[in-house]
Amino acid sequence: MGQALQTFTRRATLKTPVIMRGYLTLDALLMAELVTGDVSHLLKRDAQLYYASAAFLVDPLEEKQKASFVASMRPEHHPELRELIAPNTHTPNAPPLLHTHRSRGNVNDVAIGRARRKEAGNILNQYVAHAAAAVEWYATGHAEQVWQVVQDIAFIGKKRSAGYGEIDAWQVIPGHLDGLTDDFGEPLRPVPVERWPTSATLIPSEAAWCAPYWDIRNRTKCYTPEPR
Amino acid sequence: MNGADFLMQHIGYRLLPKAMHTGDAVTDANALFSISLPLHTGKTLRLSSCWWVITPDATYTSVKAIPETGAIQGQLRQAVILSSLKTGLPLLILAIGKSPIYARDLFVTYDPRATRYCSDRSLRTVDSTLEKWWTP
Repeated sequence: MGQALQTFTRRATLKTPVIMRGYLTLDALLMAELVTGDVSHLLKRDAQLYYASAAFLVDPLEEKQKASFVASMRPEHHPELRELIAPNTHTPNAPPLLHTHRSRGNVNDVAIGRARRKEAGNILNQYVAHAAAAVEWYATGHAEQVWQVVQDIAFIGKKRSAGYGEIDAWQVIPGHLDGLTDDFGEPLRPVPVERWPTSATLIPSEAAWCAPYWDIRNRTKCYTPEPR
Repeated sequence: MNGADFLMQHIGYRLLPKAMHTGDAVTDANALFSISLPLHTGKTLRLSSCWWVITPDATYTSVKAIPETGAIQGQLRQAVILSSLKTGLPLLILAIGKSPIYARDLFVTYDPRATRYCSDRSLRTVDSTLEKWWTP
């Protein structure tokens, strides 16, 4: 890039409540937007650890909203799924019947019975939505290039298609936090305990500290902002 | 060490048949939760409707596990959790219901101030030092 790394604060003003699961670090957000696993050209990185904080709510309301969604996974409505889901039958070699009537038994029947309810029934997903003025990240990197990546992001968090986490505007604010520790010596993102600079009286917990954050293998004993 | 590593290292590999060991703790933990385990009675049963408290020193469970695993049965859950938290050692608290549990649901507790109760698709984090039962 040819430019010096700088500390900066990235702020996303929210239009709607946001559902956050996990730490939603800035590096993860950039990776998702760029569809890549490496954003070291945008953010400072030291041995896989990015200097990019978790997402923090600005002026959140104390009340949290519960948001529940039902995923109706009905394979009988989607004939193509019949090939993917094992039939609930004792005659697995029977030809598929697209219009199986209930009275004709259960030959290749993928209708929802007790046995199939868990994997192919109504699945209730419950979330907690937070109403806040904005979401902030603190990081060390190339602020201008990061802004160019995030400026087109219209939604963050989960259940974006349902309207949660809509962004009103992105801002860059000059900041002094490096993305790892705040002014009180507390972590701004999950940092493995062996890489934490001070031996503080922080509370360790298990968390993913490097991408991909969904991979269980990347979880370890970390100091975190708060367990999420 | 993550939850899957912790589980498999301290009890999982004694429960999972050797033929199913892959060396990858995540794969092996998922396999462990998907098979039927032998009971005292000679029957087999999938891990469900039970609790486990796993520490480096001992494993406590409500399951009638086979004796060779060394898992301790017949203890009260709350007493086991309290005594295990007071040791200061990391531990894994599992509450397994009817739904299957997976490696992704496993989180090690390193500090009683962030005690993690793991169950299917649900993780509850509480500060045990603020609970009434923490001080006798």
